[in-house]
Amino acid sequence: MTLAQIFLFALFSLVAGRLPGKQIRSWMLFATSLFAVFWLQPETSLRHFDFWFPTATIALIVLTWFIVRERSPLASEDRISLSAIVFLILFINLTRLLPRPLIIPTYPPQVLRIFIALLVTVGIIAAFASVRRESKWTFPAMIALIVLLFVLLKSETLQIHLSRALRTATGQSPELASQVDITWLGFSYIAFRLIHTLRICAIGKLPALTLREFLTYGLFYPALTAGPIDRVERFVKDLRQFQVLTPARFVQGGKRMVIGMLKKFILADSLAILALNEIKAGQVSSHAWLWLLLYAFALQIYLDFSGYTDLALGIGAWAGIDLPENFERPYLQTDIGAFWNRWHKTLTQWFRFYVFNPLTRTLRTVRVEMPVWTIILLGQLITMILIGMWHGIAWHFLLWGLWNGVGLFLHNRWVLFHQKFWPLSSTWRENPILRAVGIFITFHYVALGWVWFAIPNVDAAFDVMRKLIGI
Amino acid sequence: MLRRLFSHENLIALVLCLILIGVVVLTSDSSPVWIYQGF
Repeated sequence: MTLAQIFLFALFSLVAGRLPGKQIRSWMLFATSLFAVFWLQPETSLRHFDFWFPTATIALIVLTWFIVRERSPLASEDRISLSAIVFLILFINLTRLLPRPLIIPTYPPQVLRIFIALLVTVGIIAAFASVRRESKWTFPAMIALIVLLFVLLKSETLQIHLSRALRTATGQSPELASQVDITWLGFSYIAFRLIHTLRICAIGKLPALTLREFLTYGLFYPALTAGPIDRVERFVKDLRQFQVLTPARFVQGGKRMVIGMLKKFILADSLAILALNEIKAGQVSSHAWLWLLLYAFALQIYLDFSGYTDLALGIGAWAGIDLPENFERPYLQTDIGAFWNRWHKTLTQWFRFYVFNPLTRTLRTVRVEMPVWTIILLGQLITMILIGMWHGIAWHFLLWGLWNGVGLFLHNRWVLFHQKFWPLSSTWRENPILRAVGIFITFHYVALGWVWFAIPNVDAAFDVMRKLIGI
Repeated sequence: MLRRLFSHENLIALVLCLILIGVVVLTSDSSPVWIYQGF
């Protein structure tokens, strides 16, 4: 989000928060979210794909809604929502007639192509909707489809193949295929929201949702580009509660936005000049400078991401939606377990629910009896590696996940060892010196892990790691 | 009333806010994309 976009979204929320009725506010949030998915989409070299990516996002959410909804004829409100979607798509298409592109960065495709795409989408939705939730395979099939798409968009090799194929289809030069062509805004966050919805629908805990509510949840404009990954049942509760923008809420949301902008535009962006990357790491010769680059990166990534979350929460609060927190002073935690309970919380909670808990449960019930420590080790390593891969399917993210998984396991063993051989009284645990040592060790372990994250070239990352620890 | 509104303390706070907004506006044009927008 640029500053202009932040101001405009804040204004939308301000208006929505002060609107007199529940329905009208809900419609406004729906319309703004639909508009935002096109407006926020960055430019891509693939012809017309800054139009097709947002359209595909909407189609995917509509398809998921048709799968999870109760079997009944379409309500008139859902028909209006569907018509609003088609209208918006056609309206954006009309911007072709303007002297310069509006809303999306380049000109949208010809209207005939849009009609064909709409027909194909309706066909797919009709096919899925005919089997829907009655078939036990519908949910796994839809989740598999989302995961496959996720893998396709996250793997560098596959991204280049996809870019080449799409370039051929659009009549562009396939030789220029590049990973950066595939910039599908917010897909990782939306995919995880959809998987969550499908899962809770499969276990019968999904409340009945209108298309407008579900689309607003999937595309809610403050959380569209970088989360948080909310839970649908919680989000809809807020949406239906209609919390009016009171002076207290206005101040609370405003404060979060100011803090967010301060963190991002002043602190994080200033630290970006110093933050560790492959080029800068190659330019410094002393350990001290390298550590400084690493500290700058550790602070930059925290301030950048938590700044975004502050803004999202502030804008959401004005609109009457209290999005979940993503950070709670993670760098001031005394152990790595506490760090991971407070860093990108909505993602780690998602993985705890859908990966770690089912995985350890399965490992406990397998025929070959496994010692508890093996179950914990496997559970933590696999979960953390998958969290790493959520950022991108690449070796350096895998190593980052592995580094943190090993850290969590070592901490788990250390706690058990401690309890057995050297139990500490609560007074000792609260001792400020011991706490400071804990915070120091945790921060440095996490900061060293950022080396894998910041440097995609694994050999270069190993070199930096060696230099940092003085080997 | 007006004297209370335009007190020395409030004016300093206002100048500080304007400087802050100025810095935000001037720096945001060249600001890097959000790190987590790329994931």
